[in-house]
Amino acid sequence: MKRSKAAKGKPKKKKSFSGRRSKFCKFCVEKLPYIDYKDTKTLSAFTPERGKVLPRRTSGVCAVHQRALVEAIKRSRNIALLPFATD
Amino acid sequence: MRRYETIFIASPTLTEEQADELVKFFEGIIAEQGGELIKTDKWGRRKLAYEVQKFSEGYYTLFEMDADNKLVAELERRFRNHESVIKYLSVRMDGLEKAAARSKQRFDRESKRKAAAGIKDRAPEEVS
Repeated sequence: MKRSKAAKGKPKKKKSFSGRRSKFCKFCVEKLPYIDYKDTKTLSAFTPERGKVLPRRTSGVCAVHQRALVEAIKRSRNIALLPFATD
Repeated sequence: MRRYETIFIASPTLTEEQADELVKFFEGIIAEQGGELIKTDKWGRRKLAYEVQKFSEGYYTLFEMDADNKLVAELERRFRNHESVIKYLSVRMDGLEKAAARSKQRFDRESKRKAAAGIKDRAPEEVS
């Protein structure tokens, strides 16, 4: 039996992140060939104040690029371009 | 022969000229050991992210070269024994080219899939 429109109510909307922007992987969008450990400007965007690596659930970086990113950050720390920790 | 990148940090106690001399010295070593220097990049005096041997500044220099592992080992040995060099890092870059090719393949595949499914790709301008 066909239900009337009134009974059905409003069609369910897709769950929207209220006010939040959807996440996406920056490196996938830019299609960079590799993540450079010398590029402190990009890397520091993924290391907030304390100097830790930003988790994937926050930044939205895909798994492949997160792995490459972590390696780049570690190299960068080794040569004193990025801090290990800051207070 | 493999592609390497070597960065070293010279002590900030050196003057500009002395730092240049040091770079020349290491360039000489690379040439002498049969390496092929592609590029020398002097970043100049830069602040370090943390203190190294009580210094908070240093002269960064980047060598890009085709070299054998022997040369890299020799170069690192010299870095270690040289008191004006406070830190160094060597990275093999030829693996990166392969990785770049692989990631390009991945991007192509993804964009093809997206085009077939009618999903619009994000424009790079969107990224802040």
